[in-house]
Amino acid sequence: MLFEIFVIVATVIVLFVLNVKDKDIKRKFLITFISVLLFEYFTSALWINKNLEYWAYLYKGVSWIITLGWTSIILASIALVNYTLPKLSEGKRFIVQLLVVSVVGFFAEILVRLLGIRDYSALAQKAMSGVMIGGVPIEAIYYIPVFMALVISFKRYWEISFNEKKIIEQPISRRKNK
Amino acid sequence: MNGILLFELFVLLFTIVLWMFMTKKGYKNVSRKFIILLIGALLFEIMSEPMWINSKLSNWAYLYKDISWILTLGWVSIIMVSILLVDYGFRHLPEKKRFWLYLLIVEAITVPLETVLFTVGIRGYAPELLERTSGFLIPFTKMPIEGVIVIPIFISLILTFYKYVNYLMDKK
Repeated sequence: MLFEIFVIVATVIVLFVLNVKDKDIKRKFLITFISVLLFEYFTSALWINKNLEYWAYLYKGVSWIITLGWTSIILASIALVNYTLPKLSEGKRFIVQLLVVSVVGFFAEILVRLLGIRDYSALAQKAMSGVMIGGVPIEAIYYIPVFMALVISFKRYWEISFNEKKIIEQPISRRKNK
Repeated sequence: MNGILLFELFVLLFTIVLWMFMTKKGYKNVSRKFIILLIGALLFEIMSEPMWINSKLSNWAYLYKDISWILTLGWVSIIMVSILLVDYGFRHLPEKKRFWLYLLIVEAITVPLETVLFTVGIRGYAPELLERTSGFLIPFTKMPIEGVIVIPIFISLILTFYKYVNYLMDKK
């Protein structure tokens, strides 16, 4: 119960702080939440989210509390990079954001493992080497950045589609063709 | 020549023809677009590899464990075709509306194809994954109904990865 409350309070604080500088944060939050949820639903056969309160679950082992936690980590890390490295090009910032989110995400994974919330299904374990770092499979070094790359791309794609009229007028992939 | 080899050659040939078509039609950075899409699809396939079984393909069609670069190329071509069709036919639509059409076309192409691959045994779901399905099948097939829901989910993540990375490259 404490973990669930901690995640909710942390999310409220993250949203409150980010709202000061970014009036679009609610939409960004929603987009990020949806992308994490899509990913969690799709790969739900690989992970086991256990020992959470019954109300923390959405469907089978998919927990909206875990999704909320990932969403806050992603938004806070991205904001941190954007705030500290505003002059970097978006491409380079994307790489730095991936790095920061992945490192924070790895420690978050260690935490949920220590708390006994996160486990891996037999299906996932079959594919793992068995090498662990702080209770987390070494494969997470690959999985977390991939997960984050897809989620951050999804988030940015929708932000751009909603905000930038110039891009909306032409397909993103062919913007320079005309 | 057996059916499997024919299928592999067809995927390969189709991808080459699609690449040549785009190059000839004046699309910019065609190779880059294919590579980004290939990376997006491959990243996803590696990540979700324990969930699927890709079998019966030729030895040379596999990359790592049962991840097949031929099937990845197939995904790349399907997604690229849907992008081309939508961008051509609905160029007046804003990106956020076109996104749903991309998904719709990919779904329309993929569900019958995936069902055929599932039926002939090239594509399969891990037993642990099948246990989690509802038990409902696509009518007249052995394909779990969940396949219809799962395809747009993972395509939406690959598609947005492709669009965003392409956008970043264009901005350079």
